[in-house]
Amino acid sequence: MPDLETSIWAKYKNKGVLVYGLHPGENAKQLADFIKQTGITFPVKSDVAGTLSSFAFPPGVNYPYPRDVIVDKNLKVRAIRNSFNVKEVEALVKKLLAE
Amino acid sequence: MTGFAKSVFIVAAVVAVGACSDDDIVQQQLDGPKVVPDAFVPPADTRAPDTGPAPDLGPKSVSCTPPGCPACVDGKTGCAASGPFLTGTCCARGDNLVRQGTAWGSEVVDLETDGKIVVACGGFGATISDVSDPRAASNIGNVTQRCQRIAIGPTLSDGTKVVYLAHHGDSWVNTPFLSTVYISGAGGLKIVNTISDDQILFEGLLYHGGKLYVAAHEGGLRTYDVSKTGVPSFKHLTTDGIKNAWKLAGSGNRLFVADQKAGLHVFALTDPLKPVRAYTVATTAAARDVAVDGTRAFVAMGGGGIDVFDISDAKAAPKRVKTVAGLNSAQAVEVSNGVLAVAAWNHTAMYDAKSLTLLATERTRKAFEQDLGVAMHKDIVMVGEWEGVHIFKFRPGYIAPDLFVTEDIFTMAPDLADSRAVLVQNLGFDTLKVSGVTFDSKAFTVKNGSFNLAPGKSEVFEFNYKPPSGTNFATMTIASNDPDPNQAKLAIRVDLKQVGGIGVGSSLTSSFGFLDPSGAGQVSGLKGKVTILAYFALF
Repeated sequence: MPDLETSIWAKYKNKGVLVYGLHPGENAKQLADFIKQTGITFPVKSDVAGTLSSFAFPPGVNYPYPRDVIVDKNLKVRAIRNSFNVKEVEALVKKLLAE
Repeated sequence: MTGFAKSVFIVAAVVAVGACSDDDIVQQQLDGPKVVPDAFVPPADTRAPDTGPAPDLGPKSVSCTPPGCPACVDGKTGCAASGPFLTGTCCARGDNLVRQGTAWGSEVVDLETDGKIVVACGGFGATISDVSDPRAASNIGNVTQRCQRIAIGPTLSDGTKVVYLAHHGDSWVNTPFLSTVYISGAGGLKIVNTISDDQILFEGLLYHGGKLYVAAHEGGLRTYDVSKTGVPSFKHLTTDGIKNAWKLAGSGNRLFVADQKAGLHVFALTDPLKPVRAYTVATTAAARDVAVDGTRAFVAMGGGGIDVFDISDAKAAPKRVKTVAGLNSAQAVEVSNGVLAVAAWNHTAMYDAKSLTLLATERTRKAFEQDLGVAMHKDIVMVGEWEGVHIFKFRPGYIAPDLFVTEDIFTMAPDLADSRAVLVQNLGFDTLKVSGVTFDSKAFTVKNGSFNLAPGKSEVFEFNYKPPSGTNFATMTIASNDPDPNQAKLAIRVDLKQVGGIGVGSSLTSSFGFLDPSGAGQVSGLKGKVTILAYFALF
């Protein structure tokens, strides 16, 4: 989260990049504490539609696996990552911004 | 999302109802859905799947001289030369981190050991195993109270072992707590005390010098006297300099605090009941765990790697020696016998604590690994992986090839011909022989899938996909002479389509309309040139 905040959101939020943190319904107080402590400023929303299941259950795996989903301007999923490589994600963001 | 401190997804499905139209993140969540806690019933056997019987370690070579043993990578011929092997050890071919077996644990997020027992905390509570014989761990019992952090405390006069468990609260634990558990023998577990307080975010625990110290995020550093019955009696609170205290380590009369916002604190324990902050040094990224060995402090910082500080002078502030970049996300650290162990999300890494040379990487399972905690006792290394506890023995001086591939999963569009490059590194100290790369699907072909890599070298091979796939995913297997079972035939998934979901190349469906900033509930309302959905959960 801090990496996403500093390397993507802070740098590209005014250039057309949207970032949403999506959680499965965390305790409100703990979530507020976490947001305060990590200093993230992008919107954090409860995954009320259960969209987690769209991405996070690799076939044959009986638990969700962390995912960052990167979507282009046409709302097409361009990448799904299970580890946040700052350089790689930033390069992809730059590429998509240029399209 | 490995950039997230100790954040992992939770197994239990969450029923989410209602609608969100407010972008105020806190208020939105306050108005958000309520979560009904699941009933936690631990499985009968929660040990992680083992990868086979422990190999016979055999006698360690103690008289290894060239040409019988390979030259050290620094070109010196003497095996006792300093680095990359631990001083005084001797080169011999073989695995230096040898699997011993598994202990009990489920949804493991942290663990602690004293060499006799290991306590693993997770979503199904605490599991306690007898690991006095690392090759034949046995289950002592479970505490079904969901927990995150552990400290192994004193042993009472009647032999009762005291263990502390804590949780800072989440969707399943409404009130943070600190519990005291007595272990009186096989199966003899009893929670004898619980401190519940929604104003105290109990996080890192440390039993040190007869006292219990608790990191409580911005709530500071709490000190408890546990000298009588092991039950904590609150004595002192300090918030001096603390912004977000996470985890703790102790050395002599010094207490080290990993603070996500402030860096690394050093508190003097001149009076163990009243820690006094002596120094604070900034870390290069958010600190989430700390381990000390008397002369050095090692701070885990997730994707930021590991900051290493010289703490040999107790009368001076820690001096940063180096930042070790790491290979993924440093979740937890522990140091013992001159070796630093790092739980690094998709693998565990071992470093020479002095030279900071990477000594070994280990995959604790074949796929979707999540190493979140690590504990050591002498040369025994215990890794807390989401599905269980894995036990290894570190053998200094042994060298082997060490295959490493950064990616765990490749995702490709099912209807598009595509290719991907795969970087293979040899992080070990002997020649890596990749004998072949194969797929279990005929839709994939591989170029240059057989090669040798000298220590420290890397090679890129390419695989191509040509639809139709005929399957939702394929498994790529990289076969090599890496001695670790899960790396000798490293399995990497290539997902083509999520079952029941969507994948790369498909479009967001109307169900994502709840993200519409306008509140109209239309997915088309997402007007970003790029949109990143970062799924996470607190734990």
